Amino acid sequence: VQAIALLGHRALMAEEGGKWIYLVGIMALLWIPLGLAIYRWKSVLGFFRSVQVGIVTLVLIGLASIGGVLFHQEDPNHPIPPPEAGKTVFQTGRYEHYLAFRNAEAYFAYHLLHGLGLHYLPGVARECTVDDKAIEGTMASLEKKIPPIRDRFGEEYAVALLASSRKGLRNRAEKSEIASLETDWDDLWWTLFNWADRLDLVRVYKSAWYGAFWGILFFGVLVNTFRGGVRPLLRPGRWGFLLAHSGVLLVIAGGYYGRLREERGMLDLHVGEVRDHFQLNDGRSVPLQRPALLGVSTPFALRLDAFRSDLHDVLEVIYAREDPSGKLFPEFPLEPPKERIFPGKKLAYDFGASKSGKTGTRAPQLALEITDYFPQSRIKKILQDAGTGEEISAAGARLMLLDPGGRVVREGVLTSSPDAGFIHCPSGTRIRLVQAADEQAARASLESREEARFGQIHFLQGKMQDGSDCLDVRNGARGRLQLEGREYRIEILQATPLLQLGRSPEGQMEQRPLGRPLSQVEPANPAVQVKITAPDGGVEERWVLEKGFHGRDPRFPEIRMTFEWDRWNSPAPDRWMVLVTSDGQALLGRVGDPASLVDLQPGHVRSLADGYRLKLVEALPRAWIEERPVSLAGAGFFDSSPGAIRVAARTPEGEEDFYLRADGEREWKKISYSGRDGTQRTVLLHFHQDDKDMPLEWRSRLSVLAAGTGSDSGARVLESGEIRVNDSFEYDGIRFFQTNARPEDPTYSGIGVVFDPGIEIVLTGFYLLTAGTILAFLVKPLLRRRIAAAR
Amino acid sequence: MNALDYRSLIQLTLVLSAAGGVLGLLAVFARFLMPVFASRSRLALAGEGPAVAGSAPAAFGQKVLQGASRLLVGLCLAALVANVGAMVARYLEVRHWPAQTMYEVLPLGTCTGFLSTLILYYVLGLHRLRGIARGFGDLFVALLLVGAAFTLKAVLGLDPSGRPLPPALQSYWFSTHITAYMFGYFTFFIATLATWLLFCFKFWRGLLDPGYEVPRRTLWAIGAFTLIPVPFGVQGILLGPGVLLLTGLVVLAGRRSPGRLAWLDAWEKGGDDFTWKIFLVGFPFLTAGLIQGGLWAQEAWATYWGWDSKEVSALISWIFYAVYLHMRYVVGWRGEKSMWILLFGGLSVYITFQLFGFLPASQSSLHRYTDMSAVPAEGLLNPGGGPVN
Repeated sequence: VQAIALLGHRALMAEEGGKWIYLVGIMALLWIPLGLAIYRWKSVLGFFRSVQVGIVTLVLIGLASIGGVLFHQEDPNHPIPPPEAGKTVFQTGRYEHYLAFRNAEAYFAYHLLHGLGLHYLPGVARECTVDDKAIEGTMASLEKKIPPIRDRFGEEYAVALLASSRKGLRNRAEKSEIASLETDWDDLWWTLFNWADRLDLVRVYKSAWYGAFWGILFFGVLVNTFRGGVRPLLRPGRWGFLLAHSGVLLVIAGGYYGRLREERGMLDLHVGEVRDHFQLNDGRSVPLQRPALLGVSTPFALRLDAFRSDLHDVLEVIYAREDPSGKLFPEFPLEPPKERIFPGKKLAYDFGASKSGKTGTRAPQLALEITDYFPQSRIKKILQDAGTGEEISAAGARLMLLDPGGRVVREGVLTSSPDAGFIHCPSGTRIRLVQAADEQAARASLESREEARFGQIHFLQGKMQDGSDCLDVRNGARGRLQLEGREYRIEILQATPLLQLGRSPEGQMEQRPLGRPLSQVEPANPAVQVKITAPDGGVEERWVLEKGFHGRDPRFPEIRMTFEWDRWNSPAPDRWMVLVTSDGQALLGRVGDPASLVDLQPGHVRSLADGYRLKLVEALPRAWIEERPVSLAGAGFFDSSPGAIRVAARTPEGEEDFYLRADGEREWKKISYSGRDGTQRTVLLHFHQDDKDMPLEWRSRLSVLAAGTGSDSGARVLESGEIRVNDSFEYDGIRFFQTNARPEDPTYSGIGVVFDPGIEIVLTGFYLLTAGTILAFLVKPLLRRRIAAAR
Repeated sequence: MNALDYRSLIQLTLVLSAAGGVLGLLAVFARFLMPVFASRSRLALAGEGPAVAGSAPAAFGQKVLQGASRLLVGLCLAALVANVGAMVARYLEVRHWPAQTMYEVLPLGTCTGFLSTLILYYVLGLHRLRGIARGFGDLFVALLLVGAAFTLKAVLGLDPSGRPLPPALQSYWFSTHITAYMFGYFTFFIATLATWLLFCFKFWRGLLDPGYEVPRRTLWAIGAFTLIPVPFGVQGILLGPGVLLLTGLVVLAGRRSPGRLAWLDAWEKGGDDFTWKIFLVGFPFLTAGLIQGGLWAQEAWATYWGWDSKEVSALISWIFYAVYLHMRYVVGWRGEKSMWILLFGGLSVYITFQLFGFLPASQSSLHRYTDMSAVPAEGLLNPGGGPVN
C-alpha cells in the first residue's frame, strides 16, 4: 500500500511524459492483491475471516493512534517539505515545522519526566528548572494580601485570584524550563524529528499504512459480520450486532469516499460582496460548483448580505479612591470582577470580616440587582419643556426625516447644546439644531462655516509642538509629537468613515473601496491611517479606528492615540440647520446659504436639496432631553445596537435605580457610600461590551446567486440562509459554515466551504452504530431478563 | 456566600461523600474483624447467605453492620442529591450547561459517578448480599465515595470563575456529549476500581495464603501496576499503593477469621462477571459520547472527524474497550486476562480526561477551551497603575 501510494504521488508530481512509468509500476503492484484475490480467493477470505487478524488490526490502529497522539502532527494543509540535499537544518519551511515539533515534544517530555519525579532534567541548567519554593514564596506573600480583597469581593473572587495566580506563576516557570529543554536537547529533537518524518509518524492519520489498517479492518468486519449468511442476522437477538457492525462499515466506507472526493477551503467576504470562487486549503482557487461525478453541475455565486459579531455585555465593578487632583484610581491593583449579565442577576460586594476575624463573611454593604436587560436597545429621547428654569438655556425640537417616497427614515430629538447630536441622512446630508435670538441671528448662524475636517486624534501620552495633545485630521495634515525626549513626525495619510479590509488576488490584505463618495457614507467604522516617523528614521503606518482597535504589534507601542470622527464637519454634500428662536419659532436653512432660510411650523414638511424632506413635530425655546434606554423590540440579530441594563443598587445609605448602556456615553456609574470602617467607598460600575474575550456569537446571512446575473438587486437569488457556528447552510451539496471574524473589520466574515459527499454515509453509520449499541447493550439484556423471569 | 449556591452545595456533597467513605471503611473493618472476635466466642461463620449465627450480641452486631451498609448507600444517595442541586445552582449562576471548566466538569463527573454507583449497586445485586460478602460491596462503595470526596476537595481549589461559552460550544450537543462521556468515564473508573480491588486481593492471597496459587508473573504484574498511577498525584497514590495497602490490611484481618479467606473465592469466581456488568453499563455511554462528538463536529466544522488529539485519545480508549468486548465474545477470554484490558482501559480514560493537556499536540487542540490564559495577579505582586478612566 505504501509503495502504491508513493508511486501514485510520484505520478501526480511527474511531467506529462513521465507519468506512464509510475502508472506501470502501480499496475504491476496492484497485480499482487488482484492475483491473490482471483487465484487464492479462499486464502484471502480466510485471512479476513480470521478473528486474530481483526483484533490485531484493531490493536494496530490503537497503537498507531497512540503514535499519532505522541508525535506532533503536521498541518495537512501545510505539509513538511522533504529535506533537500546540501541544505542546512535551517532549510526554509522545514525548519519552522521542526520548531513546532520540538516545542510540542519538549512540552510533553517536561510533563512526563516531572510526573515521574525527575525534578532536575539532565542537560537542563539548574537556574531554568521550575523553582517550586520560589512559587510557594510568592504565593505566600500574595495570600497575605488576600483578606481585604476577600472582604470586598467575596470568597469566590479570592479563590479565583489565588488559583489563577498559582497557575500563572507555574505556567511562566514551566515555559522557561521547556524552552531550555528545547534548546539543550536540540540534537535529540532533531534526530527524532527526522526519523518521525521518515516513518510518517508526523502524519500518521494521512499515511498510507494507517489507511491500510482501516481498509483491512473494513474487510475483516464485513466478512465476519456476514460469515454465516444474512438469515441468522435477521433474528431479533442479532439485530444489535448487525446494526452496530453495519454502522462501523458505513463509517469507514463513508470516510474513504469522502477523502477521495472532498474539497475544503475558505471564502473571505465583506457585507455586500459577491464571490463565485473560493480558495482551497492548498491555495488553489476553484469555482463555487458541485464537483460532479457524472454529468454537469451549475456554478453559482455567493453574496454576504449581513454579518455581525455579537460581543458579551459585561459589568465591571471597580472600587476606586480619589487622589488630591480629583482623579480616581483603583483601590486594588487588580483586574476588576467582570460579570456577565442576565435579568435577575444579583451581585454582592463589601462583606467585611466577622467578629472572629474571618474575612468575607458578613452581610454585603453593596448589593446590585439587574432588574432589566435589553440585549439590543435604543435610546428613547423624550423632549421635556424646561419652562423658565434658570439652569437650562438650550432650545429643543422633535423632527422627522422623510424619504422621497414619504416614508419616515429617521426620527430625531435634538437640542442646541454642543453635544446634542444631529440627523445623518442616507444621502449624507446632515441636520442639526441651533439656538438663535431672532431671525437675523439665525441668518448670521447660517453664514458661519466651520472648517472641514475628518476628525481629531488625541494622543494619550506626549504633547504636540503647540502644547496640545491632539491633531486635527485633514488630508496631508502633519505635526510633531514630543514624547519622552524624542520627537516623532506624525502625518495623516487618509481617513475614511468606513474601513473595510479584504484580500487582494495576491493574498495581501488591502483596503476595500467605499463604492460611494466618502461624503455620503455613514461613519460605521471610521478610521484614520497615520504615518509615524521616529527620530532615527524608522517609519510605521498605522490604522487607528474610532472603535478602539489599534492594530497588532505596532512598531512604536509607546505612541498611543484615539481617533474621533467629526460627524458634523466631515465632508458632506449638504448641511442644514434647524434654528429655534427665543420665542419658540422654528426656522430651517442651509449652511452657507442664508437666503434659504424658511419658516418651519410644527406639522410642516420642508424639502431638503437631495429629495429628502424634514417635518417638525415640536419645537421648544427651553428644553432638555430625557434619555432612557428601551428594548429594541423586534430587532434582528444583525442590528448592532448596544445592550442596556437597569440596575437596582442598595447601599447602607439607600437604594438607587438607574440605567447603563454599552454605547460609550452611558457606560459608567459612580456610587458612593460609607463603609463599615467609616471610610468613604467609591464604586465605579462599568457596563460595556467585552472585546477581550471570545464573542457571544458570529452570524452571517448569505444569498446564493445564479452565476452571471450580477451582484446588485437585479441578481437572481436561488436560495438564502443564515449561518452561525454550529449551524451551517447547504446549497447543492456544498456546505458553508461560520469560521472567522476580524475585530478590526466588522464587515468581514470568514466562511468555511466544504464539499464532502461522504458525510451522509458516515452519519448513517453513526445512527446505525447508536441503534445497534442500544439494542445490544440495553434492550437485549432487559428482554432476556424479562423472559427468564417469566419462565 | 449563600447556603444554596454552587460552592456551598459542592462543600455539602464533599462532606456527605467523605462521611460515607469513612463510615463505609469503618463498617468494612468491623465486618472483617467481627468473625475474629466471634471465633473466640465459638461462633460460626457464614460466607454468603445468612449472617453470623449465634449469640444476641453477634446478631446485634450484624444488624448494626447491615444498618451501616444501608446508611452508606443512603449517604451516596444524599451526595447525589446535593451534587445535582449544585449543578442546578451552577446552571442558574452561569446560565449554560455547567461543563465548561474543570470547576464544573469534575462535579458533573462525580454526579454521574454517584448515579452510576447507585445503579450498579442494584444491577450487581450488592443489596442482596449478606455477611462478609457484603463487606466487599461496602468496601467498593466506600472507596468510590472517598474518591469522590478527594475529587471535590481538589475542585474547591480550582478557579471558580464562570466563563461565557465560546460560539463553538453553544450547541445542544454540549450538554449531551459531555454528560454521556462523564457517565461513561466515571463508570469505567468504577470498573477499574473493581478490577483493581480484585487484583489487590489476589496479590495478597498469593503472598499470604499458602493454599492459594497465583503465577509469579501475575504477582509481579500487579506489583508493577501499583506504581503506574503514582505520577498522577495524590489520587494516583491513593488508588495504586493506597488501595493495595488497604486490601492488605483486610486480608491480614481476614486471615485470622475461622473461615479464613474462603469468602473471597466466590468474589473471584464472580469478579469477571461483576466487572463485565459494569462495562455493559459504561460502554453504551462511551460510544454515545464518541458518536455525539462526531455529529457535533460535522455541524460546527463540517467535518465529523478532525483527528484532533483529544478525539484520537477518546478513540484509543474506545478501541481498548472494543478489544475487551471482542476478546470476551469472540476469543472467549474470561477472568484475569480480559480484566487486564479493563485496567489499562481505565488508564487510557484517565489520560484522555485529565492528562490530555500534557500531550504534545494538546496545545493546539480545538478541544482546549480553558486554562491557557491564567496569569498571576501582577497588580498585587508589583503594585502601581494609572487612573480608572
